Amino acid sequence: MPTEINFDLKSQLVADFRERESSLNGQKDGHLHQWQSKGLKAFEAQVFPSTRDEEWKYTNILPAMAIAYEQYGSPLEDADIDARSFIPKEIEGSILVFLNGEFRAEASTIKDGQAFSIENILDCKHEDFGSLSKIDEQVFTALNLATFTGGVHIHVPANTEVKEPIVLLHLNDSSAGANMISTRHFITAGENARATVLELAFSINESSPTFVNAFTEVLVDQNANIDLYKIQSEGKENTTHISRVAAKQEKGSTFSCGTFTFGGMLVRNDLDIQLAGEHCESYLNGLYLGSETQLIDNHSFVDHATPNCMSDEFYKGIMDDRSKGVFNGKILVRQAAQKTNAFQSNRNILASEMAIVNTKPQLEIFADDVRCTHGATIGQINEEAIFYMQARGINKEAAKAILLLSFAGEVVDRIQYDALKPYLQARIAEQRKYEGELLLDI
Amino acid sequence: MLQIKNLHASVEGLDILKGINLEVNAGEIHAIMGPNGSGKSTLASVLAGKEEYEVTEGSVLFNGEEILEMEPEDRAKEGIFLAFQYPMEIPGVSIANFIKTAVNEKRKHQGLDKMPAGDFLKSIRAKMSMLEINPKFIGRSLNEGFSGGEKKRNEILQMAMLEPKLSILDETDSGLDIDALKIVSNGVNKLKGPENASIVITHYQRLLDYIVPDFVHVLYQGRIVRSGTKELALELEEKGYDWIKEEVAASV
Ligand SMILES: Nc1ncnc2c1ncn2[C@@H]1O[C@H](COP(=O)(O)OP(=O)(O)OP(=O)(O)O)[C@@H](O)[C@H]1O
Ligand SMILES: [Mg+2]
Repeated sequence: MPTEINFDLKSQLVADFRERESSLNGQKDGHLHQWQSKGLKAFEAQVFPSTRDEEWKYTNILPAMAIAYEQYGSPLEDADIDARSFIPKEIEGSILVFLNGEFRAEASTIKDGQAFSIENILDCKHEDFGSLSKIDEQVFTALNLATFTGGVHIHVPANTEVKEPIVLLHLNDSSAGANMISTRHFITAGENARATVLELAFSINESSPTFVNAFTEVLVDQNANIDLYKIQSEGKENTTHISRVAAKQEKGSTFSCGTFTFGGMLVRNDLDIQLAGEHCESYLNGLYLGSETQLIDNHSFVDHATPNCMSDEFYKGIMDDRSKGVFNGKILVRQAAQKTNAFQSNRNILASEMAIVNTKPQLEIFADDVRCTHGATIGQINEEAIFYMQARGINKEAAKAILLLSFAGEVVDRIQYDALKPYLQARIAEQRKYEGELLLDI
Repeated sequence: MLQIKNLHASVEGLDILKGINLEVNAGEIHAIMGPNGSGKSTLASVLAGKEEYEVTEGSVLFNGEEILEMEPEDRAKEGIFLAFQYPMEIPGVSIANFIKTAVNEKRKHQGLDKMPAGDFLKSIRAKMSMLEINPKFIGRSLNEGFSGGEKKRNEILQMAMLEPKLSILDETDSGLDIDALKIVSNGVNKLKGPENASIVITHYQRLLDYIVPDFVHVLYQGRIVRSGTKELALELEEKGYDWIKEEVAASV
């Protein structure tokens, strides 16, 4: 795999953009191009962050940003894609397939009579599109806006409940060469609307370096309830995955986000949650299982801007081999946000002596009548507990797996969407190479 | 059934067991007493196979087979059961699932199929009721948030379900109230038979009123310094350990 070091990706991306632009002729005035040029302008004004940047202190992204990525499509035909094979069997619902970020209609299944509407993100002219993308502060968000080639705008109208989940299946195919995949989703939920969205990401070919730059923007209107999951299962050899979820919650709304990271060589997830109306609730659950030389970095920012809101963040990690985990949870309670309840917990187990975790809670509280708790722990596997189980006839490897599964299972227990739980538990067991019965259900 | 010969063990370079000799035959109950820190739990852990302890000399035969090289889980499956002095909490794993796994591991080892779920539930419910354990506990995480006494009862529940050949009870009586002591002792006695044996580690003669030992041994400074019948326990209750300590000091 030839990889150019010290390659100036930024200049190349800018040059590629200009070249594409010159072939556009009349479409230059189109809304999409306007967005993209805006993104490019912001991108050009910034640089990729180094570890001197506080936000990127433990995650060196620069080597992955010195590769000559192109935006390749996939040679696969829609008919070649068996979307169902990637989806947990317990899950029914519409499946939208994105291959290298490009929407593949024929491979997708959109059920009739759905309560929501969808449109290709490339056609989206919604007035609030982009309202949560801080392109002048976030280089990857700017790059996403400049280069996105696919995604969907999901709108759940007021007072409707979407019973089955909406599945967004992302497949990466880098058989053509070093590949940059920019996807962008936009979810708008009207008042009292309810829906579950499941984003799944897999590599189907990872022979060349793959750089995924995903952005999901979520607007949750009053009393609406959006439950979003990201399940990241990409290859560990060659995939750099940058993801950001930005959500804005209006009064009385609930937003839950479950991030489950099993794969990826380097994964950086950012959550950016804005509690803009009173009596909102945010549930941020995360589980990361690192192995080999994976680096998994979860950053979150919860902005309590109004009184009487609650946020509950619960992340756990199990890091094995030489993997590295990073957690940074920032909670900002603004002066106006009295009666805030904000909870944060990050617990980690180092399953090998070579694994590392850097965890940092960051609380900035400017209101006086608040209840905030946070805790971060990094521990080892409890050898006494292993011996206890061995003394009952359970072999050491199984005992270790059971302990880790029960540790991880706590995150699974917390999610709202029950049909996903057996799948997640099976994935955890698979990752831990545990073949015995799943002990966690009774 | 069990023959311990000249067993020496150390942890972190510290010699703790310094030549234990003990023979336990099927059908017998042996009580081991001794001052704090004398090595009783260490002996129990070494028999169960805890890795931390390094056996530097001696041998342990269980049914004629040397077990010191065996993994703890294999010893358990062969029928050695240790009721821990301090049972571990395992959050997220229910009592039912844990015991079911243990029972089925043992059955697999014996070449038997898994116990049908219905049979398992029936059996565990019966044993919980014998030990007067609240039936709701079956779904609770193993030992998590249990009181000291509840943990001990749960150990005996596991023992009752696993039906070991040799059970080693390490201070199972401590932390039990008087009623619970009777219930637990009763449970242990019910499991007693001509085919199995127990080693009961305790500080209190009271337990031995309920679980009547055939032999009583005093462990001190890593050695069994005195053995006798149940009268020895009464004598210790009355006189304490000083006279034994003096005897040991005099003989050195
Ligand atoms: N893992 C260990 N590391 C260091 N020292 C240990 C360890 N385990 C046991 N010891 C020491 O070995 C000695 C014997 O301990 P053990 O727990 O076997 O005593 P015991 O007879 O069971 O005491 P008690 O009656 O208090 O339960 C003690 O001095 C103890 O501190
Ligand atoms: Mg002890």
